[in-house]
This record gives sequence, C-alpha cells and structure tokens, in this order.
Amino acid sequence: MTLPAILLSATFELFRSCGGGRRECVAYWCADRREPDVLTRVVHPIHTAFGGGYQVDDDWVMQFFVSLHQSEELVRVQIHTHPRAAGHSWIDDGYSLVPAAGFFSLVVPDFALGPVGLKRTHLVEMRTDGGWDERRPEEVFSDV
Amino acid sequence: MTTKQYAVTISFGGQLANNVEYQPQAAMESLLAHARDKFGANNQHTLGLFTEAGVELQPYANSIESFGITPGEVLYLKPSTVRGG
Repeated sequence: MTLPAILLSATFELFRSCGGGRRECVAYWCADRREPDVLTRVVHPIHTAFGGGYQVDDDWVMQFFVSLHQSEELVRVQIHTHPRAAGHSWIDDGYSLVPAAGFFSLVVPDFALGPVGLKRTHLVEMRTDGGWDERRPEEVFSDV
Repeated sequence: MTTKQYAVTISFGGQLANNVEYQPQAAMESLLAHARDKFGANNQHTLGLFTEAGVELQPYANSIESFGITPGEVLYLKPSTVRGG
C-alpha cells in the first residue's frame, strides 16, 4: 500500500494537536475506490478522548460512510495513538470502524510525540474470522 | 412473463456489494447476514443496516418490504460503536 510521507507527517501533526500529549486521538486513511492501494488523505473524526481511550461520534460515522460512498472512496486504515507502547487492546480488537477482512489498524506510541515514522508502531490486519493478524508496517506500507 | 428482480447495493466504509438480491418477504436479518458475509464480517455482531438518512433497519425480524426498501436502493453497513483504548 502506498503511504505518501506527507500523509504520515500530517497524521502525526493531527495527533499532537488534538491529543496534546495527554489524550488519545484517532484518524483514518482513505483511498480512491479505483486505486485502493494508494492512500490519498487522512480524515479526523469527531470523537471524545481521554488518556487511555477514545470514542467516535456515531452520527459522524454515518455521515462519513455516506460521503465515502458518494465520493467513490474507501477507508483502508484506522490509526490511533496510545500513551506509551503501541499495541492492539481488546477494545481496539472489538470496536474498529470497519470490522471486515482486510481492514488495517495501526497504533502509534507515545501520543505520537516521537519521531514521525512507523518505528515502534503496531500494525494488525483483520482476518475473515474476525481475529487480527500482526503485520510488519514496513512490509505493508511503501513510499513512506 | 418477466420476474421482478429485487436487489440493493450495500456500502461499508466505501466498499461496495452490488446487486445483493433479496426476497421482499424475507426478514431484514437475512439481508444483514448476507451483507456481513459479503464483506468477510461474519462474526461482527455490532454491525447493523442503515438507510442513507441514518435510520437503522430494525427490528431485524421484520420483513424487508415492511421498511419500504426499493430495488436499487443503497443501504449502509455500520458498527454500532467505534472506540479504542
């Protein structure tokens, strides 16, 4: 999957600005439906957050899904921050935006206050049985 | 004599399942199960079907035709809760 460096840096900036080093934050990477492996933009949802979690506004999710359909885009990756080390919690496992086979979830450590990049991030991909497989970010994302 | 085709499009995070056929008298639950299967989300019981206006098509035991669904309509598969921690 092509992940432009500017998209990754914009996502880190977003996390730092929204989370302020004190709260988790979440975003989504989208692609054109005709080129699903080229990530084109980052979307920041309406959400609540605290030091150890976040929740996305339900009305926002509905509107986002309708807008994706109308613009012929799809959401490929969910990205969110953790306070310290990156990992996928049982809440992350059970309540993702698109719980379907092939959806990716990337967790960024230290509220994204560290260097911009995929180092120390944690990436998983959903299987057909609803479980998650750990994937190596540097093997999934290119052009970073 | 022609047989009327009943099919809708289901959108899920921008992914599409086109021409999802249904029987008007069948329970909405059958369309929900079909949608989950199409997207590889069989075990995801937080997912529901919604109209573009955000109205959930429940109770799922009711017939598809009872919701006024028309062939060619776009329905949305959406989780009831999105959170992390």
